[in-house]
Amino acid sequence: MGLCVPGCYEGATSAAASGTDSGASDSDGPGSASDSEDSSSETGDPPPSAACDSDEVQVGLARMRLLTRYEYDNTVLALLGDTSSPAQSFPPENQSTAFENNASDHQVTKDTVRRYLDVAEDLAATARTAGFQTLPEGTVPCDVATGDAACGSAFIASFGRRAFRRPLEADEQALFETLFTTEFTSRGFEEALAITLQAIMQSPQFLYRIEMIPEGASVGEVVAVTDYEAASRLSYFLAATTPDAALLDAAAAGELNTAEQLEAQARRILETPEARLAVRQFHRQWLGLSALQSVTKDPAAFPGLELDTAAADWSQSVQDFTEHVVFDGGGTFDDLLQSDAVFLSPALAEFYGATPNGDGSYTMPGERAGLLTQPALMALYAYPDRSSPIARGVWVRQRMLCQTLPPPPDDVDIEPPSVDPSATTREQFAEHTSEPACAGCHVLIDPLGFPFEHYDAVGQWRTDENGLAIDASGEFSGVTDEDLVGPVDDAVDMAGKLAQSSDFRDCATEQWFTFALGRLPDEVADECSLLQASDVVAESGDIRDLLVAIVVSDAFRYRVVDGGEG
Amino acid sequence: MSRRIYRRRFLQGAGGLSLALPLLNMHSQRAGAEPGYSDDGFPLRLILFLHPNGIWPATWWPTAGAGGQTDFQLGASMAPMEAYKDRLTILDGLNMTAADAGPGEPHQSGMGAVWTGQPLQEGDMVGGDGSLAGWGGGISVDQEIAASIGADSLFSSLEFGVRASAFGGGEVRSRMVYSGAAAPLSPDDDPVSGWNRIFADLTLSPSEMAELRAKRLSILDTVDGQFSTLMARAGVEDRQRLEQHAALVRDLELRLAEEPVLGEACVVPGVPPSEPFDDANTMDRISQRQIDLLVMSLACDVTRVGSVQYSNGRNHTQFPWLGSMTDGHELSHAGDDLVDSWNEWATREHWYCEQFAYLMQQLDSIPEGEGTMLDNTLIVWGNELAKGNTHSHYRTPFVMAGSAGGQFETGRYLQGLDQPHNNLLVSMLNLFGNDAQTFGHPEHCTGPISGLV
Repeated sequence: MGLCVPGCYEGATSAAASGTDSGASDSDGPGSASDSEDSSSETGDPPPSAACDSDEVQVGLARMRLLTRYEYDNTVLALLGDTSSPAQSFPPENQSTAFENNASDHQVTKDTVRRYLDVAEDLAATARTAGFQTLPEGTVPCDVATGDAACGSAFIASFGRRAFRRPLEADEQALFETLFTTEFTSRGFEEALAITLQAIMQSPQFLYRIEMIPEGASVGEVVAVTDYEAASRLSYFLAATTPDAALLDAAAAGELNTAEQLEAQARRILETPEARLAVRQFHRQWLGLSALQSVTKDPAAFPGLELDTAAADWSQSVQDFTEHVVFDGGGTFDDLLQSDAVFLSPALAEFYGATPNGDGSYTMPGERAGLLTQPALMALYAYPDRSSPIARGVWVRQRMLCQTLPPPPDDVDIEPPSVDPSATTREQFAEHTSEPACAGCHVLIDPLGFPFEHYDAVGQWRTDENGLAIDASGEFSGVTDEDLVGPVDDAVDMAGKLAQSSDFRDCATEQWFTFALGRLPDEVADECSLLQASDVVAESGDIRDLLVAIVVSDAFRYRVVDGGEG
Repeated sequence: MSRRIYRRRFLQGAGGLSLALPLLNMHSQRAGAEPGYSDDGFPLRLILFLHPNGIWPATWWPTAGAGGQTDFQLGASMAPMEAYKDRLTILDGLNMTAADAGPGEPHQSGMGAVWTGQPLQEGDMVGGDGSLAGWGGGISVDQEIAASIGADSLFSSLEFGVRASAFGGGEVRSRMVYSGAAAPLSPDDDPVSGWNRIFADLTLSPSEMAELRAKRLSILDTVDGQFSTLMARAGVEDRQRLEQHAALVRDLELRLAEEPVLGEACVVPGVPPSEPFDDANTMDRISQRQIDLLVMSLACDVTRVGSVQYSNGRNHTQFPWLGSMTDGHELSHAGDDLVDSWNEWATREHWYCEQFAYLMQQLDSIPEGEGTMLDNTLIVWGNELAKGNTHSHYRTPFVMAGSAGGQFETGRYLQGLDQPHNNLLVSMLNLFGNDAQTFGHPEHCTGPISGLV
């Protein structure tokens, strides 16, 4: 990734059409291969795909992926019917992107290895108590009371295939059979089964999605992912869990490698309940909703707000909204940014005085603009007792436009202004950030935060503050889409303009790619994949179409053989 | 959410109470002095302690008298530690220059450097102000020490957190302990999860434990056997990851192989109550529980190295039980003339000092030879910044308690040290039997702190 532009007067580092959050700035950013090809912002022009039309496949380096906590939980639900969400006791994933599944950052430590052991013991004990009846059908093909070594071998082969997401190799089968046989002799069938299960659940083939070097492949060579690898990539991206029987069967039949086959499976998965969970997971991470659990609000400022339950309810509220938009609403990014439905727990609905619409959704008092003014997000990006135009503006820059901002100068006082009831929050912050040392950056931040001033620190609509009228005007600047540049009246206006912009389209594409690949897209090697997917968004605007476009992209279907640097 | 207590069946009726210890081997002391042990044979322990966003100098630093290092008065923030003043060593003038030598903003680079002595790597993590940085650049000093004194423990080290992952999970501003470059260890913020991991096994009878041990070793041996064929066919980076994972599995196997020999003062604590742990309203209670778990882990001798991390570089905390509701990070940015803000900040420092005093008190309540466990421990308290409204790493506050087995005089205020903080890290290594002369980035280290020992 490139460096920040060392000062805001040149504009924020821009998310170029390449979809990266570094590289080309709109002035003179560090040269990157994508600079000269940055033209997709000129809407209406043919896609900048000239360089992408060649048959040469390019793809960034992908590393093996360690199951995240929710992936682990969903996986043991699928494999063992276990609903205890045991991975919530694992240490939080280390992450340098918005997403927990980053292959470079998320790695095992002494503590995770220990927890794998503890949790495997729990899982095996629970499964054994249930007579191993919660495992996928046919994986224990005998009566456990009279099971023999042959049944143990059959269990290893069939359960192992589900756990490793591919058939076991002969040497793998042999290792587990050795364990099983030893334990069977000394402890009996059920104990041997439980112990073998624990060994499988702690094996790297289960914990990681490893893509092996194909025989005969050379370093740096681009190879197609195998059918089984495709099954795992598809399933963890679109269903947040291990491949189902249909995917594994398709892989076994060699029917999971053409773009058509992948698209058909992707569209099938998108009809399953698991796909809804995956979409919720994406939005929880993209929008930073996990931080809601840490949020405190001032009880004196917001009487009636049940703080004990609000954090979880808020997070669910936004996830419900995004699930609704993608699967039950219009399904487009336009709907995401402009649909005014809100989903609330009964407690939150009462607190906000929201009106039920009869379909599970609510209408909030005041004007609303889709995702951006969800009460939970307004609450998250705020102080305990008042709004934070800066936090909201930075969030829009970073997560909706994929831009990074340069640091403020040292030795400046950046404490927020003291609460002054004779001025609006906006006036106080504007005064505060008008100093020349601060204004260079805040001119890029505050005008994207002020449009939210109609929403207080918990996202309630307000028309005035202490009797003073709200000024919600703002401005887009430092963006690549020239049609986006200019003033906005308020958050609703802002969301509408954002929805039409190539900046948001490219950013959303990049966020979904980052989530799908478990890595930041490579600004050179993955450029064509990103551009082509972004074009799909420009044409249809449909979020599920974007997910399918990602699935059929080179970045998703190919990989490069890692031989280290150089 | 807290982890289900899967071994609850062994604990019926015991919730919240201390449990009688099964008849396990207990040991008290070694015959003679050796590295990692006091002269009278007790194990030495190391504890790291950290709170973020710097300190307010007026209430933090002691007032020195004319009578030398031992003549000083504690600042107002440290009043809760008055009873332990003669066990403290307050270090004034350590500069985290290593933090400033690499990328990242000061919260990022300070967290990354405080115990590693290394600048951050280059990377993609966005700091509070948009700076980009990677993870810490090397192993932290506690892990280096744990590799020797913790080699035979059930746990090489235990990392506790009090809202350490609040407001956004595991990124560079919330991690201070590293097992190696770009390999941060996550502190556990949940006392219930910690109890499960540390103490659940200790409630088993010796025969139950022996049975469990045999199964675990058999399983881990099979797991270990999976790696070699995978590594042969994995890409370069994947292979390195697999090697590291396999090493961790083998390490776990070794630690679980022996029946643990427990400390004489070991009393297995009851399961802590399950309640939200990333919550301003429980932080006060969670802090005490984490300290209790840490102290008992040391008393049981299941580990000799631990840490307690409060909050993180983001530090958007409130302290409602003190009536202090301002966002902590913003508070730390107050201008020097904002008296009310710094008074509020000082009440939080006062609370941190209460926690530190509680930790000392708990360790001091366990007799060991002529002294107490506190004497045989070294606690080192650090911070990722010196002062919140300058973001400086110069004169970063470090406070030590205990003397690692009486190896140096305590009750001292060492002023004007004016040297890289890596020197402190070297001194720490030396106190635990490692005679290294440098640690962390060598350009930011001139050897141990002279005059300390």
